[in-house]
Amino acid sequence: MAEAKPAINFNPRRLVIFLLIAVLLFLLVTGVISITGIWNTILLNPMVNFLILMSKYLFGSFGIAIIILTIIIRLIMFPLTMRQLQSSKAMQAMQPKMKELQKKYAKDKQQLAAETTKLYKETGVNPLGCAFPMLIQFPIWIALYQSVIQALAYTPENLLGLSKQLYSSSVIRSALPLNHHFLWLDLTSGDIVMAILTAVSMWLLQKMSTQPSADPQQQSMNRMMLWIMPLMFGFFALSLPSGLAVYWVVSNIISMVMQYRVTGWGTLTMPSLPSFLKRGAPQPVDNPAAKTEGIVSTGKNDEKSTALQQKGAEVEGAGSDKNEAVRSDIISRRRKVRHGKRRSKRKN
Amino acid sequence: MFNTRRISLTKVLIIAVLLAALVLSGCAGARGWPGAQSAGGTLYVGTMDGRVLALNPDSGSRRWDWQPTAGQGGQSVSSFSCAGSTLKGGLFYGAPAVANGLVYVAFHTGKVYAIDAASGGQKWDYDLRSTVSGGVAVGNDTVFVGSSDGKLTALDAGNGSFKWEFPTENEVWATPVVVNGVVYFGSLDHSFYALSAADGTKKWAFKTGGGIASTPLVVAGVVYVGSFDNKFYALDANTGTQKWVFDGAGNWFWSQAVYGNGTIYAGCLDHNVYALDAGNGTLAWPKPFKASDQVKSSPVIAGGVLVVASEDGKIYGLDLKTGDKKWEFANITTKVLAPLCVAGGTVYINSQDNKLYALDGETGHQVWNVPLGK
Repeated sequence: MAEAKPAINFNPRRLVIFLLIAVLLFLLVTGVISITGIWNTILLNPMVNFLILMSKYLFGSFGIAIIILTIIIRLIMFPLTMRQLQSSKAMQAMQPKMKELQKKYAKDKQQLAAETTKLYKETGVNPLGCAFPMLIQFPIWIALYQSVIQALAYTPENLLGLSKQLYSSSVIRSALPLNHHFLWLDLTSGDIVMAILTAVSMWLLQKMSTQPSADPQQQSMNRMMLWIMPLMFGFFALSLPSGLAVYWVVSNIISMVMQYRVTGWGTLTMPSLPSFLKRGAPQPVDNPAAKTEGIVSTGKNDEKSTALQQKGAEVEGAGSDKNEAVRSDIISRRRKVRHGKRRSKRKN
Repeated sequence: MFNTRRISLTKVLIIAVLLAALVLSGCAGARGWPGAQSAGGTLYVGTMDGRVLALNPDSGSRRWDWQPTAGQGGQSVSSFSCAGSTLKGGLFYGAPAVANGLVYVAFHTGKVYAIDAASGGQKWDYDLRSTVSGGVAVGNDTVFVGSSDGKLTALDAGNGSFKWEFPTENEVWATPVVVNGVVYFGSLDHSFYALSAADGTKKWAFKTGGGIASTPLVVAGVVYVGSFDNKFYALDANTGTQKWVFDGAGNWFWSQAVYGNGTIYAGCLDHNVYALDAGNGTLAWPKPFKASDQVKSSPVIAGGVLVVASEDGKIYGLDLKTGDKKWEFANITTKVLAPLCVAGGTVYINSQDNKLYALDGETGHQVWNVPLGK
């Protein structure tokens, strides 16, 4: 019997995206549009005009306009950020299995790659899921930085350049020049307090987002990241206009809230936590998987930690049956926890 | 192969590179647009590197070359700092002012200097302690200069001593003008002011819908000035009452207008040059002249031709009555932002690549060009 030919997988969505990219490339190559033009039209000009408009209606305060814009940007990027957080959490959870595979196929790189891809497929983890949302944010940072500089227009050259980017609205045009003072800040110049706030908020965020690891190399990498990122951002916050530092601080606070919702406090042990007061110090979870991974529960996120550990255990089982069993186990544990909470509420 | 360690390192590297790119992309700070001034058969020219030169107007040869002595150019900032880059160097905006044998110039750093017009020796200096983004005016033995702290300061023209200051509610970037004992200037606080040159008392103020950075033109008891509300105003010089307003532009007015034969010629950032009837503000040409870029430089009339520069470096010679283009000079490859200067039918153009061009106003032919660097 002749084998049936595999059906061609026609995806209209992909075709549309492909055609759009092709048209865009054609227009760029033929010079009909320029990268600068696209950048200005799509990102920079709307941001600049929005900031000016917001300043006009927010008591003439450019600082408040930056904060509002930051919140809006973070809301727009909320789905991407959540995906990034979940991806990094899942990536961390599957590290034991990754290590196992690396050990097993140390001499066969091809097989290792195949097994790794298989593992990603089985667990539904996209390894680029962590990097992509982060990369998406960079153009927005750059556009925000440029728009802060340009909207403030603290040199005649800046103001002259700004005149080319303004929409024809008389409200926007008459709002200039903007007041570049906010609280104690001159938003056009670097500020030591904002630099410290940027560094501290970045450190806290790093501490929250760093997942514990037993791997000494990973630990040293985590330690490095914990200090390099805050110092780097603190340094730039000191050197660049403090309007950008306002964005970073607000953005970091929002990130911390989101991080807490997904992974809890992470490695950030908060002495003020009620659980800390009850127990005195974080206790290791009585779980062999957690012990091997060096996972320490902070008390508040027992449920989350258990789920994470179980995810780690989940990937250790190669077959889908095992995965299914582990999933059922996680669900039953969650039910037990909820049930326990309800019971304790009733007692109270 | 993906692992968290590699992703973390990549993350740090990407962030570091992009932040560095951020700094570099935003560091295109103030450069200034120094202009030229003709007086007593000498051309006094500001340079992009913060010097003042005295040139022979016929050949461009140097008579003297002055720059602030070390440490006087202004505050120094760290080479990395971007936020403070506005205070770097000794750049300045606008043309030097010349009166009573002295050349006056105000640097962006806030230092005002008086230089001997004959020898190029420094006579005095005064520190305003605030940045200056406009030119200086001299009249009534007084030097007037606006600054970013919102003040117009009056200094004794002879010795540089402080006379008085007048505060406004925003930065003063416009170059003032002194006529008949009254100093006229605009502020970014949207108002236009007329003060007594003697003691700084306010004679009147006129509120517009936008900031004012353009130098006013005062002719026959009328002040002509454009604003960031896209309007061009004619005000009574004595009372400040509005005589007429032109409301047909699509962008800000930043340059000083020029007057000729009952017509006001004003360049605009919407790329147009408008010819307005000085009496009623109606358009004098069938249509405005459209340049290839923003018109930031103040136009001049030379050899019976209106000479206009657009920001992209194109120089146009226009018919005064019709606005038709008579000639175009396209050999300048950089921006032209400084006010144009005219002397004896020759137009002097200070370009952003630190060169001075001399063009015949009637034909547009280049007479000479000289580099202004050391």
